[in-house]
Amino acid sequence: MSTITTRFTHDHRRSDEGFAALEAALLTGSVDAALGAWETLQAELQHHFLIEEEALFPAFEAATGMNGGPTEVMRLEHAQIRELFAPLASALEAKETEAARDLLETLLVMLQQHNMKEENVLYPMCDQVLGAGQQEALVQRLAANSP
Amino acid sequence: MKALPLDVKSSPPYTVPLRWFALAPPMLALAGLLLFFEGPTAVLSRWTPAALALTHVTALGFMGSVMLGASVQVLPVLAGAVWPPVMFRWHALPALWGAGVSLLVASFLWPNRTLTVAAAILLAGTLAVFLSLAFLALASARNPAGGDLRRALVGFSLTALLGLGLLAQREGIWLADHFAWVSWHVVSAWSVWGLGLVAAIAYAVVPMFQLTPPYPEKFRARWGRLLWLLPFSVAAAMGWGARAAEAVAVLGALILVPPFAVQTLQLQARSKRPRHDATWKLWRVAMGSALVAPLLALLAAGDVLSPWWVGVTVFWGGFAAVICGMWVKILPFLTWLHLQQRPGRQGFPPTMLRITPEVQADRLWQGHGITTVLLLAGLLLPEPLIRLAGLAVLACAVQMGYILWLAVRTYRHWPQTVPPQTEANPSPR
Repeated sequence: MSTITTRFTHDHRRSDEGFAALEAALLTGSVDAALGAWETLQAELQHHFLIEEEALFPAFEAATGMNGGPTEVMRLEHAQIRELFAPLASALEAKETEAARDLLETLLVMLQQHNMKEENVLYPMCDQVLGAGQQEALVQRLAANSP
Repeated sequence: MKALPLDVKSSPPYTVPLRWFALAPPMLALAGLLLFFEGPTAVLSRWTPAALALTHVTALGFMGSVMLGASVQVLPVLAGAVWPPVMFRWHALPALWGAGVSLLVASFLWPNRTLTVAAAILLAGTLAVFLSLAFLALASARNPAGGDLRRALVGFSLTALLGLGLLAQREGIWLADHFAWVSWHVVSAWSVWGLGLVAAIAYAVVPMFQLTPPYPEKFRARWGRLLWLLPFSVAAAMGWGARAAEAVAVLGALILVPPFAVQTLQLQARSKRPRHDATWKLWRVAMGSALVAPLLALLAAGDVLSPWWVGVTVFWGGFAAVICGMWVKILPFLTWLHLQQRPGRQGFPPTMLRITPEVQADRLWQGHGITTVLLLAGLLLPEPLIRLAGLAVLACAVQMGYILWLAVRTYRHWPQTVPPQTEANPSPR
């Protein structure tokens, strides 16, 4: 049983498309397209983080008694990732393409290494400790209202 | 209290992998200087003192230091491994490793039992400590990445033990078929250790940095285990002598290496990123080299071609390309990450392309390409091309050192060097 790993990982892959679309728009110099791609990507990331922080992490912490450790670090990394959102949006609005590319590159690497930790370590731990019903409820919440 | 997987305490401080990485540029520079001063004699035979020194300063000093430093960094990230805290406190380990490599290189150039014994003690001791801590760190890792990394480190242990056996043979302490043992040592080094670690990292970073589909799970589960057929079959063939061991090694390389290279190239071809940076290009070169190297090894085994081209393709075209590709990505990322996590920081830290501008990464990629051409052409016109290749290697070492210096300087001086208006607007200038 690997519901959490499969479905949450699938959600990570969805954001890869957003990155590629944004990078392509930046390369062609299409600022409107870049802003549109960024709004979609940001909404997807915020939704994913929110489900993790409000539902998945608390469920894991309740099941294991681990209040620090993995979930604490993942929350910290969410904050680090979110900190890049405003400068990136500002750079896009100001049509500073090079600054936006730089911020996007940093965001991409930061997010991907964060995803790797979740996919390789945290999600498999969630699959082990959470019941089937709990897992199903979590993935339904992830799918619901997904942008 | 023991740290948990992914815990803040399980993540190495900035300086721990950096101390290992800092060994790489001077060791590569030493390789370049050896090539420059030795000139054409470097390509005459793989058994000359200079060739042995060159091989080991490259494999242990340059590649080994980066690979050990990378292991410190990736074990927690990829496998959720928890390093024993002493790994972050024993700062002497990289220095001892560097000293051991230097003494080993000196012992090849100026044969001397004291040098050999000192090198063996330093290298074996450092590695024993490092690997013991790594296996302890990985003890609780039950995921596929943990298995891949564990197998690679077992491969390094085997390579090191065989290397110690060879040193004992050289000193006359123990007699055996030296050339067959060399085949076993070499095949363990490039396959289960070198390629095993590259693959373990590739499974994560190729999809991550290049936005490709993941490696197929079946491939990943089987290929890494199959790679172990190489050292096992070479060991079995040693009973028939050195030629048989070499033949089995070449045959195994022809069968087992291309699937990984082809798989990676196929994934790269499906990258979603619209722009290909230096890291992407260097990985392409590495995988292309991995495809060509077994064919060159076949020709070399049949005495049709000099083993020089095999060595250049494996060491420089393959492993060094991966290292250069990761160098320009990991150093700025680690610097940015640790600056962002710095307690009580004020302002927005410089982002990756400001820490390592693309022009610097492109220079390393171009330098790697020029050096590859010169090293290969050196066989056709040894004088002066081998010496020029040595200078090109030296230039690459300087460029790697410069990129490292840029990252460390940013880490040390920020935010003091960041003017207030730049803090408010993080755009690169």
